Amino acid sequence: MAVTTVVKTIGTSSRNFSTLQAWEDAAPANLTTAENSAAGTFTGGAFTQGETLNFVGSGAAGKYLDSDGSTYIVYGLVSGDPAAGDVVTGATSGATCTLSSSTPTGVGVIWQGDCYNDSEFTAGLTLSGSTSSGTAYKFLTAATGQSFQDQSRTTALNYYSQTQGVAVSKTGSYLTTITSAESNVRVSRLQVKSASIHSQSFAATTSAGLLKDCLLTGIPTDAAIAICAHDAGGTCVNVVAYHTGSVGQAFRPRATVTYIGGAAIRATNSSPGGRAFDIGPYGGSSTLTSFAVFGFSQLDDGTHHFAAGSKNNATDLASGLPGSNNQHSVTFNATTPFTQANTTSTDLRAIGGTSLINNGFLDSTNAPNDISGTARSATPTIGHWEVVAAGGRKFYLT
Amino acid sequence: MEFLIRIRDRGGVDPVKGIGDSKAGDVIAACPDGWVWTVAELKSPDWRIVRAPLTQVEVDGLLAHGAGDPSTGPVYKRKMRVNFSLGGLPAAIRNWALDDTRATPIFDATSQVAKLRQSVELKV
Repeated sequence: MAVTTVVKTIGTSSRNFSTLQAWEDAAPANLTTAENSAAGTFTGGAFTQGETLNFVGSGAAGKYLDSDGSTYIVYGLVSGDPAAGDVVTGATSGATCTLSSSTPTGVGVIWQGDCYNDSEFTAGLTLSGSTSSGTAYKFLTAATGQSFQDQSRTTALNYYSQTQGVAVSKTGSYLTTITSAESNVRVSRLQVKSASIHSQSFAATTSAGLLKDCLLTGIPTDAAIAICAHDAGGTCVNVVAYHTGSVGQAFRPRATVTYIGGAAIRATNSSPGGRAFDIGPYGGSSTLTSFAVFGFSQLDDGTHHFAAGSKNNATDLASGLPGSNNQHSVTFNATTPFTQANTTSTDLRAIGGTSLINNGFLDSTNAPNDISGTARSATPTIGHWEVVAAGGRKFYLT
Repeated sequence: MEFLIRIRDRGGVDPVKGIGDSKAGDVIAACPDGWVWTVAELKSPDWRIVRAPLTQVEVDGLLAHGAGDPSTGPVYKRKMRVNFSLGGLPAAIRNWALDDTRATPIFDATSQVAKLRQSVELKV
């Protein structure tokens, strides 16, 4: 049966929610059993977010999630089995509607938060507590036109700037800006920053999550801290970790994590140091594909490495990349292979003419596009940014 | 500061390890005075909004997750809660917290902040 995507907007007071955590907290306790049912005869005004619904007739009970006010209602099922003809009554609002069928049109919801770039989100977010599945999960992203991904490809790609799209930060040492402690969470199209030392931008402590098309940055400043940490597995597609400190890691795969088409970059005007990955004893099945690693003193801890199935990666380090078709000792400075890799005028787009071009691996299932949403070529550019040949007009001389 | 506070359990998952579900008394968000809350935030019967001049240290504590007893307990989404049912709280706050219609969407507890502080408990 179809899963329903419930889209809620997050931003200022004109949106559904004004904070990320309120959006998360309004999600149903069980995403997999929430139902979407056809309904009619809507009367008594609008239902109230989160109110108890009494299904008068069958005696079922639910929590209000969403409706179009005329043809359907989405609810978290608390008890009972709704039936055709039930008059659904909001316990707080008094609003009502009538169910058209005993069989819902959809079971399971994707609780989607569409962020608007009304202002910087500065409070962080913890996702946890709801029952989820591979098809019913929480999904935090930027609304159409609100992400750095939506700006022109001719515009510089900063590592973190609210002027280029939705930006999420958190201030305070030993804190994490976005914590995913619930399985199957998806996050995309965001810029995420840990604004203080000893802090993480993103940490997933449960499995099966997907982090896609995101710019992460931080100043870990601690050998045990990573900008992006996965403790129970997951997938990272087109994720950049831009490291502005000299100590600490860009990524920490402490279980099997699949990295495709991203980059670990340490600012060229930071003191040398840092480690791109801290794999640990349980992360050894992780794979690195079409990934760019630049500016770090070490690829990993020297003991735990990526799986041999890794391939088509590039680094300025002299050795250490696992698997096949890799490039070592690629020149790295402020203006190559990225347009500007220092923190003062950062532009993380890959430049034309770099050896990263045409040497990546196309994963057409998981990563058909780059971080800007541009289609990858059959032989893509290594890293987050696909270098596309400049277009032009042909003039025929006669 | 203004605090968005969950008034009843969400009823979700509480893993022994990892971070659990939202619980009654959890501070969901802390925003500056005058924050323009959305309709859902002002009306949802699951939440209440209280205005109180707490210190930043107190705010950080209310938003922190952790275990009451790290050696045995689950890790809570918020390790502290605001208990509106305590007898020591003024009746005005206790009665306001019981009103799911949220006729008064924001309660200004500025003059009663000392008693509000006493309603904050560490989860165990």
